[in-house]
Amino acid sequence: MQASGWIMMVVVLGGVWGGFVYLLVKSARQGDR
Amino acid sequence: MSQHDEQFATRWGILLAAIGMAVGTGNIWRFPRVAAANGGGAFLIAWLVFMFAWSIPLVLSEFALGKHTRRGPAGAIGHLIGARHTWLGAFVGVCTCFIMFYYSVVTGWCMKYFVATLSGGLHGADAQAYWEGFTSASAEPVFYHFAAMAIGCWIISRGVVKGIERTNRILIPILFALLLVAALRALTLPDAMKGLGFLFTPEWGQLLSHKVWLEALSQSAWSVGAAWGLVMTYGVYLKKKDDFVLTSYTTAFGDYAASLLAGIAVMCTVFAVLPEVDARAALGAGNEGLTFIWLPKLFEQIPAGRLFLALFFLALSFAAMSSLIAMIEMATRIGVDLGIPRRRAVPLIGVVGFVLGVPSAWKLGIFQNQDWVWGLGLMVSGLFIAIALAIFGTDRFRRELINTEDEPHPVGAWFTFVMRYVVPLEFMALMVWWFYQSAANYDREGWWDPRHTYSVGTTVVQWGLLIVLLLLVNRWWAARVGAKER
Repeated sequence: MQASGWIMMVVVLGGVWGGFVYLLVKSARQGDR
Repeated sequence: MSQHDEQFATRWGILLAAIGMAVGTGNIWRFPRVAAANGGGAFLIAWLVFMFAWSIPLVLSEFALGKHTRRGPAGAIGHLIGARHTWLGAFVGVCTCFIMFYYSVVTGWCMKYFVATLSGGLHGADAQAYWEGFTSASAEPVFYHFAAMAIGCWIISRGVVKGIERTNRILIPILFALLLVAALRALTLPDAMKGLGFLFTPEWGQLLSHKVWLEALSQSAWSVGAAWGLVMTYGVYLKKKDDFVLTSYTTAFGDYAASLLAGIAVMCTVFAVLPEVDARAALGAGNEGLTFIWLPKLFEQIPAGRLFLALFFLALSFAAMSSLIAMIEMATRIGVDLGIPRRRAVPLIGVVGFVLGVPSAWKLGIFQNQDWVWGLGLMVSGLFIAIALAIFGTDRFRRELINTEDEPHPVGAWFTFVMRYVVPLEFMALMVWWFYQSAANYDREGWWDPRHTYSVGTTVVQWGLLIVLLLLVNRWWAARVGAKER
């Protein structure tokens, strides 16, 4: 895979999965209201 | 909301139900091949843009509509902007009901292939002949469609907490675990990097192609479940103090995260086993062709392939079932809003859903036609929700129905801009694009003929008939859901 592919993989996977995990943690911290 | 309606017990229950609604077969069998065919990394950029330019604003709108009005799609829009507009919401709900009829068939296919992989029925068989034998001449698809509908209705009959919430608490974590296992297995295959290359390496020139942007928009719209009326229905079961902005974002990110895992699993497997020319043929074989013909062939060629194929079809079945129950719940909600007691509405939806799904189970051509017509119909649903908000006042909707005192994460003015201008523009671009596809590529000779599977004619006639019917019964429907003139 070319370098641009690796960069894109890190950006997209990191962005989407990072965002998802961050939001899950934020939801867990907020708890039920 | 009637005083007998249940409410979600926990934030996790709401979140897992929403993610279960969103993650469906489209994440697993459509995303990988569409991404690979449209410039890999370039497609992914466009796809990420549409998360914010279509999916999240519509999910936010739906949660707000359901929570505020305590009604399903028709009742919600009738209550928001007046009785004479009830048909706009009714279109959203009925369009998704039409999808439910054939989605139950798809769920049945996934269950059948899971059973066939476990029992060894698929082992050593010619995958093409097996698929054709299964779908063309046998009553088996009807049986599995019945089984899917029966299981879905049984879950819904147990109610919001014991049915929807408990089922998704089990299905969704297992689904993500299965996708993770499938992706890790695929990554350890020789030549897996070639698949990753096709999925992620950007062809920057493709960003100038309108096709890439329109395919990315279609994928986002179909995958996240925005404008289906399903989130609106789940919104009905939120407590007054429940906030939903964080849940909306998490649902969209969770859906995209599942797509990426499925993309890695499918692309790495396809490119690890097949030479590049055959890999491209497999990815060009359409959703059913890739999933039910190519993947069984491919998994046979990798160590412990049968086990991983069974896990793959189990994941697909879970993804399909968690979306199907959301559709059955929405149809049930429509019935309840019309005055049918819930205990009667669920079996009624089960029977109607089974009967109207039988033609799609019996004949692949009817399934493909319905998928084409009502899949595109979802874009109309998106437009209708945007119109409803515009009539009410899009910014007023944001201020009064989303950014309420119970909402700790207020949404900015970008929401108003997207719903007021971007969504209608996207709708127009999509309609022109898909109708052009029909006339120029799918059916050049008979694009106008309503009898043809992928024609413009069949789409316009079926939507037209539905809209005329809904306009005829609009006054009755509005009265049943208690919508008043404004």
